[in-house]
Amino acid sequence: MKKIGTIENGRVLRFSLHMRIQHIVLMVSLIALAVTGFALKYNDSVLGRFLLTIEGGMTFRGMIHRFFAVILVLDIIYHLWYTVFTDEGHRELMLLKPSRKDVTEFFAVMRYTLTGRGSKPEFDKYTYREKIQYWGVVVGVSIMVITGFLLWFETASMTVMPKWIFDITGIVHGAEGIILFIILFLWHAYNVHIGGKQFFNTSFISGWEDLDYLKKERPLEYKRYTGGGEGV
Amino acid sequence: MQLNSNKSKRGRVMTKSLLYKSSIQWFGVSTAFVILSFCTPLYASSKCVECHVKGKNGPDVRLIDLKFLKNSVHRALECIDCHEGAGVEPHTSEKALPVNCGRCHVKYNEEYKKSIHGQAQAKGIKDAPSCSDCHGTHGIRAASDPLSSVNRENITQLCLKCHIDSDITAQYNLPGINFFKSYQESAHYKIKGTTLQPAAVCSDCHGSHTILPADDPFSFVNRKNIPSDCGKCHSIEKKRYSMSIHWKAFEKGIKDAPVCTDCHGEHTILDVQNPNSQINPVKIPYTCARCHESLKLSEAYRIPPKRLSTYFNTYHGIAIRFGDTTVANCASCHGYHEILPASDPRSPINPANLVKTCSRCHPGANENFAKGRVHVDVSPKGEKGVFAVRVFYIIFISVLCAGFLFHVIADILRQRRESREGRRS
Repeated sequence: MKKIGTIENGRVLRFSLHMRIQHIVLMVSLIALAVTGFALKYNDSVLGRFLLTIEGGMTFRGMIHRFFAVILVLDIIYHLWYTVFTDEGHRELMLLKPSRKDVTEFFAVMRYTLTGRGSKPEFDKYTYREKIQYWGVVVGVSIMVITGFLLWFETASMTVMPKWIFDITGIVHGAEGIILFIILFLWHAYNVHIGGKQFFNTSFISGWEDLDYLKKERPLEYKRYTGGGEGV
Repeated sequence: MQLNSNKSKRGRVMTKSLLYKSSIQWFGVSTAFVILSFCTPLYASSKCVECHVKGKNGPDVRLIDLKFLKNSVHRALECIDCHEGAGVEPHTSEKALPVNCGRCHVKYNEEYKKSIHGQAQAKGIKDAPSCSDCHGTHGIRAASDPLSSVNRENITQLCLKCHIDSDITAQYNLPGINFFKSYQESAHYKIKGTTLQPAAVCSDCHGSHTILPADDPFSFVNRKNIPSDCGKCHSIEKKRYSMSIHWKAFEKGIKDAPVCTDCHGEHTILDVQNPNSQINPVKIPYTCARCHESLKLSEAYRIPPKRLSTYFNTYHGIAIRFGDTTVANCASCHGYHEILPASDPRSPINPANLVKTCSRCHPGANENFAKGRVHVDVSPKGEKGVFAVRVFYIIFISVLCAGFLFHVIADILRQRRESREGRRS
């Protein structure tokens, strides 16, 4: 398996196979969960009724939702193993650690973006944008998994929880679903596929990225891969 | 004399001898009847036959077809028994034609006079049915005879003759035609009994001779009489319904309280399995909601409001709207015929019975499971905590959206500026 930072033909491997598998499984399961979840949440609307119809009705919709919930949980277990027990995963996680640098970077970007003065900060692999989406998804998915299992095994959970917590659980599960949807579609999808290098950046499938682009957008990461020198 | 002397003896003997005497009478009567039936019938030997069957006195005389009389229950009677006026001279049709069935059928005649049909006849409304309009004339048969117009097999068609006539229904302000036609779609018409006849026909519910409009307090189908009317066949259901808060309220004079027809429909009564039935699991919430979602009724009778909207907020309510019948509907928790308030110890939603009620679908439900409010009204007046969580998320999601959109739009503007500057340099 090729390591992150491998350089071939002017391109660099940014995402290892582990990461790409995790990402695709996460992507597929979250889309399926969103589509089946919104069918239930927006059952009053045309969209909800349409989704319910194509999902084969209320009962089958629930079965699809729970199937992908299991897939998601397996993916989370994979991710936990990856970040805790592999060197590569651990390094990547440490790169995602929030720091004071993110705050200063954010204000620098805002200043440059809004006023045109100053310059873009020198980014590493994960900027505040990636950290917002990663930790947003971590928090969101954790809440979704907990509330989801409480709702799935409703008899068991209601034998121990007060009813009002159960009512709140339902609201939280629905609202967190929307938050995750916003993070992934309004934030992540724009940053990667629309506001980035090109429409639909295929790097998440191949793992490779052009060195030239990386040099411009992620100078610190570029330097790490090329050993600080220029033009490899 | 023998009988008199027996009277002083023990009652058992007396009864025995009375029975003996009446048996002889019955034997005599029935033998006479059988002999009369098999012998040359009286109608044929009658004087009337000469003119009215054989047409001896020319074409001005009205002819009678003996074929009908032969099969009639009245075949043992003389013409003059019914056409009393025919024996009086001069022998005119004005005198001969009118027939007074009440001379023999005293009880039915009295009942008929009190009925809406009888009242209308008395007022001179010729469209209102008289005896012969329903029972026929010379060919009159017993109601048990399948060829009788008033046999259960045929009575629907008989009543519909007038009641789906648009001229008649319009002229006398009768209920609409479709109201009657819809009976033929109902379970009462479609489900056949052992005799392959409809389970319930018009007269079963409305009565026959005693028929009265529903707004008449003596009518079988007046709302206050409906439970006993339906109870004639559905006795268990009636018994259970009589225990319910609905009937208790109705008896107290609350006319808005539902009787059988308010939930089940009238002519359109359908089997519970039928998806169009008002009591089908999928339709029940809407049926109950007619009263229990009504602000007017909930305020007037101090019953809890918003029962439907708070149910539709739950998973039970959402799933049932999309045809999932495994989830709980109103009746699953509240019961149906014997609906009682939660305060009643017999009610399935009484706190003491809740665990049992919930565990019918949720095996393993315990005390804690059954605690808490089920019809959750998420509003500042209802469940404040749940409402606060919802408001928090609305604000949080709005701020998040605004922040992301701001960042995205600013980024798009930056890129445009950069590309402009890039072109310039």
